[in-house]
Amino acid sequence: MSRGALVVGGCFSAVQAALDLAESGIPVTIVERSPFLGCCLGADASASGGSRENPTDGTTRLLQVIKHPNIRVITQAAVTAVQGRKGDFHVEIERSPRYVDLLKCTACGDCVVACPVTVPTAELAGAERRTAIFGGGDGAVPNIYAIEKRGVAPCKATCPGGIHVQGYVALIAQGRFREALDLIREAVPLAGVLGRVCYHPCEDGCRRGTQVDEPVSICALKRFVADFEVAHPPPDNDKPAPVAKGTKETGSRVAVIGAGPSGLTVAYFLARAGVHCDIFETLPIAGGMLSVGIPDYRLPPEVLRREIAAIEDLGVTIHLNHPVDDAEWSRLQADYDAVFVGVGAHRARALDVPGEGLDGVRSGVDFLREVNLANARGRTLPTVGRNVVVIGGGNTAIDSAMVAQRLGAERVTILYRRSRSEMLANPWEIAEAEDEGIQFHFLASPVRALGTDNRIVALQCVLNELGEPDQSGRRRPVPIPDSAFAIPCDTLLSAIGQTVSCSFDGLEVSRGGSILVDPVTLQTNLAAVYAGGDAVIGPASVIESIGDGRRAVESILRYLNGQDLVTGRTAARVDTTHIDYYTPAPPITRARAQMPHISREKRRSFAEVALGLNAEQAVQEAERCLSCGVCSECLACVAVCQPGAIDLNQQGEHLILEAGAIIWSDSAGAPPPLTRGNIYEIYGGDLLAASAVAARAMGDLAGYRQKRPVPQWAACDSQSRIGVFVCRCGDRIGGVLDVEGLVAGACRQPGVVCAEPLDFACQPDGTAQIRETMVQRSLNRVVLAACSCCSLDQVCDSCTYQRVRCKSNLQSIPMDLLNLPAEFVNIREQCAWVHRDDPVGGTAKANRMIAAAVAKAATPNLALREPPAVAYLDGRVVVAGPGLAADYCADALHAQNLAVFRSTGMPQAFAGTLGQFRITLDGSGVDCSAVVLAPNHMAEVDGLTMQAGLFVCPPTVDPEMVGAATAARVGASLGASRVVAAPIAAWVDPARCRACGTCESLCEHLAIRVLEINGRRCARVDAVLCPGCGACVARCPSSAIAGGYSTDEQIGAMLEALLG
Amino acid sequence: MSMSLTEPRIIVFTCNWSAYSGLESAGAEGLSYPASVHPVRVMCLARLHPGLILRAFELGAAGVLLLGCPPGECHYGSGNSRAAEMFEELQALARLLGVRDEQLQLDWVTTGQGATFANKVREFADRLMLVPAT
Repeated sequence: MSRGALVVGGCFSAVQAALDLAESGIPVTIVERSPFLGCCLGADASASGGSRENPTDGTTRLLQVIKHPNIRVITQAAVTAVQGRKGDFHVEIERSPRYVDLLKCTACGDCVVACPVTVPTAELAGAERRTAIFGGGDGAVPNIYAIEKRGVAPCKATCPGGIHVQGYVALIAQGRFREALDLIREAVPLAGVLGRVCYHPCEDGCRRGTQVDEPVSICALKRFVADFEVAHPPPDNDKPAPVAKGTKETGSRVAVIGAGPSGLTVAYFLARAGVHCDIFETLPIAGGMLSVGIPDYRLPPEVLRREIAAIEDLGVTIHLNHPVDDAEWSRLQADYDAVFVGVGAHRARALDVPGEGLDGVRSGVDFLREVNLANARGRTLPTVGRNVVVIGGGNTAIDSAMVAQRLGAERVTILYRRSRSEMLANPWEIAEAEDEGIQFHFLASPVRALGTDNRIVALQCVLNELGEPDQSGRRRPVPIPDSAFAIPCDTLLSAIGQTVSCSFDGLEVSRGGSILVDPVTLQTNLAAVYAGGDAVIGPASVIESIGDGRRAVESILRYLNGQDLVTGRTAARVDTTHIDYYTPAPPITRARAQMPHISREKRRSFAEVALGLNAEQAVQEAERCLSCGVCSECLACVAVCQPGAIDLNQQGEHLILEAGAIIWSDSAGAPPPLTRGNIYEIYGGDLLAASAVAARAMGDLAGYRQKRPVPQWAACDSQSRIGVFVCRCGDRIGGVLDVEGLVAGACRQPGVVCAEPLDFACQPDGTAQIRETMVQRSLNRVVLAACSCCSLDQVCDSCTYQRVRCKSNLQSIPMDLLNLPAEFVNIREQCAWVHRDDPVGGTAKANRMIAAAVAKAATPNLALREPPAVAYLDGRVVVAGPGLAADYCADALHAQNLAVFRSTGMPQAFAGTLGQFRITLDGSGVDCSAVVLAPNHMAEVDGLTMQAGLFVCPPTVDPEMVGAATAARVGASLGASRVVAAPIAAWVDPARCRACGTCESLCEHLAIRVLEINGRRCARVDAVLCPGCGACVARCPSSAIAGGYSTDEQIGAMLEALLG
Repeated sequence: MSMSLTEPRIIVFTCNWSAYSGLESAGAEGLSYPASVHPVRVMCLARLHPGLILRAFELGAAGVLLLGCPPGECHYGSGNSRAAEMFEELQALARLLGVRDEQLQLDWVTTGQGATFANKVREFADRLMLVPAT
């Protein structure tokens, strides 16, 4: 960019310096740490720039900054490095993402209402807590929300399924159970299953557990919301659509082999993406290990059945009793566009001891399958002996033992070759087993099964001690010599691991039998075949299989669309080590919730043991969450944001800037990175001091001043072809007024060629629609019914960031299309909002207001036919008076390369305005563009009307500062090459003027005078002086004067439209 | 609800400064007032030709309310006092034409005072409704 000034900080004093520089013609970049200007985190927050009585003054100034063509504002950015020196700086800037689009947000506030996370706030006066998505409070600019997102919370980062854990916990804390469940289902199917059997690594990651007391009981919360839906089913008309609206059938077909968690997940997400999916399952029931590996008392079959049925409701067909043999494998590959293999790991590892073949010896996994199938079909359950020994240290061993006990075993012993701490089973399951009376025999290995009549009667074992760690990192069991012993055993269940048993023609597998896949894409050696779950990773967990399914879906969808499978993906977990997580101080003190269990006596059946939390417990437990990431990624804001402004994937930016001068006023109080001689600093909130600093930078950068362009307009003489655009503003207008009715009504107005609704007039899409329609329908005038209210190029009290944005978007429409500013009608605040309770009356009124704007647009304003009046500003500056500040001011003006006429005497007479003063000094007249007066006493300037181009340096203790500050303001006012008359200036029709002088006598602004032009006396408006009040218009007895903003004819036409 | 369609229409002329700010503030705060109130903005009340106000009555307005800047706070210095002078002459003329005082009033609103704006237009509309049309 061109060499300009960098202003670090967005407080009012820094903004004043930036405005002075920008007005003087120097390009300025403002870098502010917070998301808002004027929202000072530092000491000078009180210096609002606006008076206490009228705080909007400050907002108006900030909006002028936003709108200024010479100013670029970068919020949420910090200067990270500065090199070079005065005149030649190289600056590096790090910009954090806002996560809300500055071009789209309408500041409606729906997101704030939806956000479930609150954190205390020190920054914003008046509010004790704010939501994770937040605005800057009254007056902050831009009034675009920002999201505080510290990073992925550890609970989500540790979840193999990538569930937005903090998000659903936050929603539960607010009692928004259904939304919580929907959020879980965005990431995984089978919420109720996971809520029962997940090994919840999220709870291990939970910072509440590592830093405060015990982790949040996340798994129990998931179960709660899943169960809550069953207990309180949503009414039919309120059920979320199973498939996202707008999803089209893609025509693609995918076959899934295996109806376990990974296969079901693949089918769930593919179906939601519009892909046809068939599942082929060998077993007579669906669910894989969930249905045949996990006992019913831990996972009631109806929970699983219900959640599988929900997947079938998406259009997925599950073919049971359908093993895939070689012929079928070939058929699937031929008939389907892709295949997912999720066949699990169901084959038990052999015990490999003598006597293994005796009756009464079997594998735990086969045993559990038989029990579950029998339970599922209401058949006779298998029997077990009185003394059951289970070998192994994993969850299958624990489940086998507990099931054996339920089948009537008198004594059940788990034999494990290492100690308790090496067991792979979940610690809480071990505890439950102990609670049910299961015996544990640690550090013992089976040596031989002893039998009688080919039936096991005892198990001979040997004791171990622990040696060096093995490959798994666990200490290796080493048999102790002469430690053999035997325990009575009539049923031996071996649960020492499972392997994958599958063979599909052409599919590469490892030596251990598991399918080989790419670790990122889960693609096998066959391009159209993907695999995941236990079949790939060996016996693992439900959530890992589900995570695999999700990753495979991403690959399959990319494969089907012909996209690259790898781009943007990694197998690595999110690195959370650098994240500065949030911790409330102090965190709420409450013990971790425990789920009640059914009584021990009842645990002889297959009834579910753990009873879920109730709603009150769930809410209280969820409130224990520390909100580590602040933003919980619950996506509630995304769901309610009608303008579609929220983008949680927004990335930060590294920016490099060349600057000639740096003004430092960091809002966090950080010192400048270079010595003071090089970088100017603003201390505190004194606006005058800020201008004095700006004056120095102005001197340094005098060579880079660029004259500001003059705004142009040109009335067209051709007949009006008016287009009316009615903004819906989401439901802010559309939800109250009948927008279609307004459009139809506008079409009937004379001069209107077409009328259209717009979704959001202030978004770039809205402008694009207007421009396109203008071209297609050859429009030359535009009436925009939205929230903006005037066609003047000004920022006033009622302006907002969105209105400024809307107008500047419209200014991008080329002059040959839109040669006059659009006519705006504010139907949002003035109709939809104030008549919310009377939508019919509000719509009728809006209809008439649009008709009035159309009538105004159709009535030519002769004043606007004149070219804009200009006054040139290339004259000198007179600095007059004996005050000490005068010399400092003159020096600073010299530094800006401005011509200065210095006089120590005060002027005797004084006339004109900015750009065209004539003053009398020592009896002679001096013409100049601006005047600075430096009296010894303020009494010397009493009675002087302050006006553009006239500056006064009051006598002060700090004349250097005041002189420099005044020079900055002078430089700013002379920055434009010309002063241009506002389009509201009055205009005299010479043909009707009788030169009576009424206007001249009443104009306080000396803007209208009766002059003799070409031999004829006529009133003449100096459009540069005219502020556009229109008093002369009303008093002209010949109706010869028109006021620019609305002529009498236009007001008359508007009254007819409003009252007709 | 259907009443609002047949309600008499009221024209409220606001100056571009204090009064318009009041109108916009009332809107931003969603303060309700009757939908019969139709605002027309001019830069300054001093700019309003009496003929335009009489034109509003001629076109069937039930009332015309002029809202400007508070005394001493005119954006242009003396616009509101000029408007007051004009208003006096106009009201005398309007009485002759049968316009009752409740139908034509001059008042002011301070910048940013949405509630004041809403109250003043509501009261103006209410007074019109109480007096039966002649």
